[in-house]
Amino acid sequence: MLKTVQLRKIWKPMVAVALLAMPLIGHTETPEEKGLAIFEEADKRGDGYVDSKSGMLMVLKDKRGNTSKRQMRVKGLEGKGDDGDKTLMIFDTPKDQKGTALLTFSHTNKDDDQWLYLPALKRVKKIASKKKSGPFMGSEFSFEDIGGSEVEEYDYKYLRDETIDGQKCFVVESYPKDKYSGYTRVVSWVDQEHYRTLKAEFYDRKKSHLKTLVATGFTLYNDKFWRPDMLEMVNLQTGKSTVLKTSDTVFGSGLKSSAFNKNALKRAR
Amino acid sequence: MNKIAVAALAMLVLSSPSYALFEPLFEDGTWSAEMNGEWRYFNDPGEFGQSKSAFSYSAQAEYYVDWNDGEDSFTFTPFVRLDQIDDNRTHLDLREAYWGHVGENWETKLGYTRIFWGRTEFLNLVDVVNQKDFVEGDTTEKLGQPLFQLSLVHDIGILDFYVLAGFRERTFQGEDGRLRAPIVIDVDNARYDGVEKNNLDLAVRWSQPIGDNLEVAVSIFSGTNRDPRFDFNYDLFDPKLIPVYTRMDQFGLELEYIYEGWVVKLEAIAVESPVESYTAAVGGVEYTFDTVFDSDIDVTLITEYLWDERGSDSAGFFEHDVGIGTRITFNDEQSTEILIGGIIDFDTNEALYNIEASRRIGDSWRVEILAMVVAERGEQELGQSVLEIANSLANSGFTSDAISTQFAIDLLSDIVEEKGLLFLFNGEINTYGEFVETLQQVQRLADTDRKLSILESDDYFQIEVKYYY
Repeated sequence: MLKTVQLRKIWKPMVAVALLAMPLIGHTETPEEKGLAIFEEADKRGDGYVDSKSGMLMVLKDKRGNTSKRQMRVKGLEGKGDDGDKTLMIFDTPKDQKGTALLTFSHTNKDDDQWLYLPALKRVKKIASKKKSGPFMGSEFSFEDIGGSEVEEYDYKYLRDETIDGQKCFVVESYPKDKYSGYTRVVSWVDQEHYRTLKAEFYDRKKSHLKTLVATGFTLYNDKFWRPDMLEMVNLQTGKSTVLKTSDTVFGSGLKSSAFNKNALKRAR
Repeated sequence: MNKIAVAALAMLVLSSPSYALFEPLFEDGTWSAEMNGEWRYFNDPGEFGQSKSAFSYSAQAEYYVDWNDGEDSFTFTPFVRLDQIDDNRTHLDLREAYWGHVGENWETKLGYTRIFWGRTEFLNLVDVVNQKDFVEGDTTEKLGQPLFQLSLVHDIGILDFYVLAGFRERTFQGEDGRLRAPIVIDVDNARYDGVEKNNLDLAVRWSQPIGDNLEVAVSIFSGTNRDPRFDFNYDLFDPKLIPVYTRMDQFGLELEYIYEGWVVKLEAIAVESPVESYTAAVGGVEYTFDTVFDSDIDVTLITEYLWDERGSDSAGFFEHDVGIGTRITFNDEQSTEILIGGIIDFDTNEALYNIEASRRIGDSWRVEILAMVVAERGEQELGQSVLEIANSLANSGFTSDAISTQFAIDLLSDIVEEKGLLFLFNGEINTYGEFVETLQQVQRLADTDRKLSILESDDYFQIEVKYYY
């Protein structure tokens, strides 16, 4: 669900090893257990990416079809031991925001830490975790969609099997445990072969359908990690949409942890 | 700005023997730039006859290059402003020109740069590494400071050491500029008292998150006080304030506690200098209502208290004031933002309000509108004797030279008691008016309870159009 939506998860996707997957699911398994097992497996298949970097183009489209673009670069470092994953996102455009950078430390057992660097003021500001449901750079992605999450942050429920675009999927519902999440539930279509989230539907606090995400153009990196080239988030309530295109993705380029601290945030280019 | 240093740097870099050494600087670098057209319109003509409206243009370019896999980098950021009416505001500065090197758990910077310390919104007391570029109008603008910085990154925090070389004097508005002090500040003849002009200043700062919600920083600064005191030249026909720089040691504390939508912030300083020792603090809370009325809009309410132990003797404007503000972030495609703020002194009822709004237009333009209103400004009570004026001037925080103060008191007393006022005026009646006016300005400076009256701060409106290249 969210997981794959989340950029961090885009870096941390699913192993190609087509295990016979979920037959493990025994007769006594409840829909809740099965839902959890699916996301645990998806998470496991993303393990071991070590680090990644890539370029991103975000295209925002309003309901009249006017578009505006944002370019950024993203670097990710896989967590070791108790440390969660770390992500650094650097903005190149719009030009008045050039050099703005967002550093995220995600945690399994508590709220993520996020810091934003404002180059004009040379100032690092911590982002309150309550802000996570707000839009990210004026796009249809929220901070929560971008920032990353862990399996433990949701409750799950397996609904059914369904085929979309010729791929057999598990349809799983998940419920954020965080009271500041902008969602009450998310329905995800996870393909049964590679455990990639192909589609997700987001329901807002009023339980009405807010957004739909579609991931396409999956590419296999390092024979192991699947990443979508394109994510499209459509807001059904406003008619606006955002397309996120990824390019030049490289795994295991040897990024150091020193590239993911507050000093690095200030010098990010 | 320090033109010699820039020229020297340029010559060093461009000379042929060193060209080989500096070759990486010219390969694969990237340029970016920001151009800014500004127009200000004041509600009234200046107190001293300055123009009601003024155009100004500024440009800042940035050249950046890195090599050795990003471990070394060079950043070059010159800045220029041209102002229609104020010669002092027309200026050049080297905002940045430094070589940066990054190691595994440390990094260094050598050259001109700008450093920010602080947490609060209305005033950053702890932020003393750079001199303020006061003529810019925005008090957060700073001049580039030549320095060497070593930063160590460790589990127990980030520890920064600074050696600051080449003190930068504060910029001040000129005679024809708006928002100036009633008596012109003589920026060409600044004095240094008990400190060398090119003193090496030292600073260190440790910062670290504690637990999940608290961020702490502690800093020590030892060197030339960035805030000058002022000496009056006691020349009633060509009155000027002379900036006097002294040394100081400052201990600074910064706290920021974030809990859900709340942020609690504090900055406190303790300062020791040959002329005074005092503490000052700014602290407050802010609360963010996000996605108000189911829109994408965030509304942040901010309130801070600004306090200075010296009270009205402090050279700053805020000694027991309350700051109240609202930041409205639209989170839209054009990054629209509105900031409304006010600073109110409940003792004197002085109040200053401003509203700022900005929005991007297309991909490369941004428009910013600002309006500043002085709702209540301390009025001067005239009618004191010259002796009283001279005395209160001597006792105010605005003079630093005890000998010349005494001299002035004696002189002014003599004028009044023995020789009569006309003694100095060569019989020209118009100069008498000037004399009285100067006395009134001296008196205004001396009445330090009414800080805002010191700045000739008429209401104004400003529009800025920025182009990013």
